[in-house]
Amino acid sequence: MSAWQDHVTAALLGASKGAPPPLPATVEPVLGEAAAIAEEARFLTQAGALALWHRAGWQPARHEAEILAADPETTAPLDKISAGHLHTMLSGRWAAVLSEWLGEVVRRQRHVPPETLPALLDRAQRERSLRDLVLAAGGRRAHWLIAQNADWSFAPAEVPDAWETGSREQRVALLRALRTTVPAEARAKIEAVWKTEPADTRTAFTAELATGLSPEDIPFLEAALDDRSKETRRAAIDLLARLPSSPFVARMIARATPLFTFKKGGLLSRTSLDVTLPGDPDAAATRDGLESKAFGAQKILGEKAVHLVLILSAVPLRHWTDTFQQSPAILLKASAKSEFARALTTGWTWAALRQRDAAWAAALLDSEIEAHREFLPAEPLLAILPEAERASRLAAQIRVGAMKKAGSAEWLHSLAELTVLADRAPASLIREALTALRTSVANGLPHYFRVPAEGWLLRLPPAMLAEAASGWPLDQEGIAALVEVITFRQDALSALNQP
Amino acid sequence: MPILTTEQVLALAPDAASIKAGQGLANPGKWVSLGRDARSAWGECQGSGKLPYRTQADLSGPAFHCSCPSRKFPCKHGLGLLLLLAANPGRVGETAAPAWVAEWLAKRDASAEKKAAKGEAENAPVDPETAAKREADREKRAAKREDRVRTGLADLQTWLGDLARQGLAHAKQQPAQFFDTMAARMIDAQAPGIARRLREWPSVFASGDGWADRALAEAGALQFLLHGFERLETLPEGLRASVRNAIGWTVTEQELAAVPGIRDRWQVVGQVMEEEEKLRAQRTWLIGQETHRPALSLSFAAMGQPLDVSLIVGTVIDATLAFYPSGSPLRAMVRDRHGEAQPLRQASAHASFGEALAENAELLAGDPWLERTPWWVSDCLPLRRDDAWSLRDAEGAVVPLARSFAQGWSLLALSGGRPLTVFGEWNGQTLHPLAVLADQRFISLGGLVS
Repeated sequence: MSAWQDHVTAALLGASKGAPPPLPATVEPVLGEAAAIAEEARFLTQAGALALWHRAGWQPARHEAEILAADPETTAPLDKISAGHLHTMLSGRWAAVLSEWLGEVVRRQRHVPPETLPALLDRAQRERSLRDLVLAAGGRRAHWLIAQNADWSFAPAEVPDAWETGSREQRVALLRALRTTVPAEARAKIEAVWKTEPADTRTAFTAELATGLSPEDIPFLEAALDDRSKETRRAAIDLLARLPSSPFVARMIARATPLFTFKKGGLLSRTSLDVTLPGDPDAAATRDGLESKAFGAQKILGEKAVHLVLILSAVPLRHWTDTFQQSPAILLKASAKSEFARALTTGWTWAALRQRDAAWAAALLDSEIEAHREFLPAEPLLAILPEAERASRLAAQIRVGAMKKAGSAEWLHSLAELTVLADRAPASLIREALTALRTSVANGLPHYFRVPAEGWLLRLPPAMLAEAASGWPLDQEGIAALVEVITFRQDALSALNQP
Repeated sequence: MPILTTEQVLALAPDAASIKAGQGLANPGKWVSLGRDARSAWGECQGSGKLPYRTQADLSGPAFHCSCPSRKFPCKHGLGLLLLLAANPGRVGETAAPAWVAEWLAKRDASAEKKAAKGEAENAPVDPETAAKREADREKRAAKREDRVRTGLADLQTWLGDLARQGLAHAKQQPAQFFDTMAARMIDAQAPGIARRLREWPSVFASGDGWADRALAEAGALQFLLHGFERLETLPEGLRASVRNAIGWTVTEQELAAVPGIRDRWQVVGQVMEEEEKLRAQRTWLIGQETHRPALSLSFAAMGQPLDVSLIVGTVIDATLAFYPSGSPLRAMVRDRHGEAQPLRQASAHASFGEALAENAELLAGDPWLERTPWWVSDCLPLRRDDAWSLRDAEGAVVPLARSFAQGWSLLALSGGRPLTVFGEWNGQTLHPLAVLADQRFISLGGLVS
């Protein structure tokens, strides 16, 4: 044992337990005569001398192993100002701009400063949607770094065995990728594991067939109607309803046809579409989803009316125009007097969304009968119109003041639409929307509006940002924060434009 | 005009709340007017009052002034102004300074001159009688303090002796109060340097593997100090100053004024802020470009009070420094500055850990009570082995990094497997990196988001 170890051992027990250990010959003479000092002080002085001796003479270990360096970057580094913007986003402010900004970094063939990679990779670890962007904007250095930290091993290399061992999220991603290229193979993969997977996984897998959906999927989906899980059956029905050649759709048409009678009057106002509710479902109908409590416990529609909605949602809309030889607008108008008018509109809206039928969507938007949105998917009807029509309808909505009723359903829907459209809409429309928003928040920004409004402003075309940042009632609660988002986005994007 | 980067501005903030508030003001919408010229930047910020606050920054300092009532320094408006400038200089247009800015700048210049004049006046000779009386008073006060310290240190010797007799294992069982009581006794005895060291003891005992080694080394260092104080008169001048520094004597401004200054281009290479007992202590390390001398500028402030913001990490200043007397003079005060700060791109660094260790040994020989020494070493490669970080130099020597160092991955990312120049603090066992120079880019590791 070394002299220092002897001293530590002695110190632990207490100096009174024995004489102080000897000092090495090199240190001893430096301390000189110390007979006059008390024993404890002598011991500590020795320890102090040894400690200092060790500290001054500390020798490093050696390590020779080869270190593999990262490949040199092929892109240019960011300037100080852009690095500052990244710093700001990583510290949590305006983090919503990050993904767009990273995309721009990649597009301009730049790479982020390496010291920001750990923070970026940590964020990408949590936010799947950032992963590809961070890998691309991180340059060669990012790949080099990832190879050394298992926490960041979300790089694409791991995909091959994801199907066997991956999380449900990874397996779903794999299915989605396969469906775009070899849809049959993806379906075969699902069939192979079908019997052993839990219900929520079966549901998730079934829903993935929406990508690359084709009549080839019909036998599998028909078989899924007998699944134990209600959710899985619903996922299958949702897909079958989009396949007009499926036996399921044929059965629904057969159930629907006897329920309707179209009466043509001399004047349009006398024209009517009469409807009777379906009868009690037989076993086959129940199998096709016409179950009791299909929408859970609710008091909006009766059970038979719910079945009517479900039947309509699965019948091709062409069936109605072909059968009655009438346009969607006339059919809607004719159904207005029916006591089930709203149920009919609900079913047709659902069908229009599933079948991406723009003509019906336009007619439904023009119709005054309101659907029961509670039963419908969240997607607004506007979304399935061609872009030009969507934009002009939205502009009209804004003009008639839909945006003025802050918080109303129309208002939120218009805003959702604006968000989808923001980067494609004509400048004049955006200008109108901005004016409407500025007016509607004149008394302050309602808290529920902050997130959607920010989402919209974050998607405005960069060329319009300078205009978008001006003219707001800045003294109103919450507005300044909104303008900050626009300003920051403008600064961050334009800084990347500098040569 | 030197525009600070976002990181550099944030490093000036007195606390986290100021950072947040400052970032909120880094938005042109909050400002009624904005402008800058070659020396300064200014703006009028609409606050809750009727008139907007007038905020101005002398960028050559940097120094701040604002008409808002905040007692923080710099205030959120000052931070917001500089953050705005860092994020988009285009939003702060170059124009002639308005009167209120020009007046402030003129006042600053005038007070700097006045201070210089006052310094000369204080050093001016007074009549012999007054001088003798002043000297006598001073000696009387000094003798009184020395007595108090002597009595206090005698108590410490008894306490330390008991500790050694009863053993470290016994001391480890003691509550924190056991050490705090002795620390308070040292404050009474006007030995604050020792008090501060004693307050660290509980954390030394709780520091895990090797605690006994560290505790014994610290006990030994205190014993050394007692030993040194007993024979203070026999020690060489430098060591005597080191003993007095370690016990807690301070050097007066007059004493420091008598020290000849050293002019060099000083690289500001690292900054750390630590909170001790209601006090914030900021260490700023500088390295002389020509002299290769390390220097340490300390700034202390009560919570919420301003720390020195005039030294920006990653810059080089042409300045004259006055070093506090010591066996190994490290602590220094910036006496005069000549010209604007420039960005730091080249390092005056040691080529190996061997060189840094040799300097470390020399510094310890002059002042055995140094708690940390500065390292500035080129060609270092960060390594990660068994979940621990270390650095390897060009000769293959490896030193461990401090466990408390949280930026290991950033350091590794910065290297990309290639050597970098690293600045850090060495405590005798581990290195705590504070900054890196990679591809002529200076990166302060303290300011990174982890």
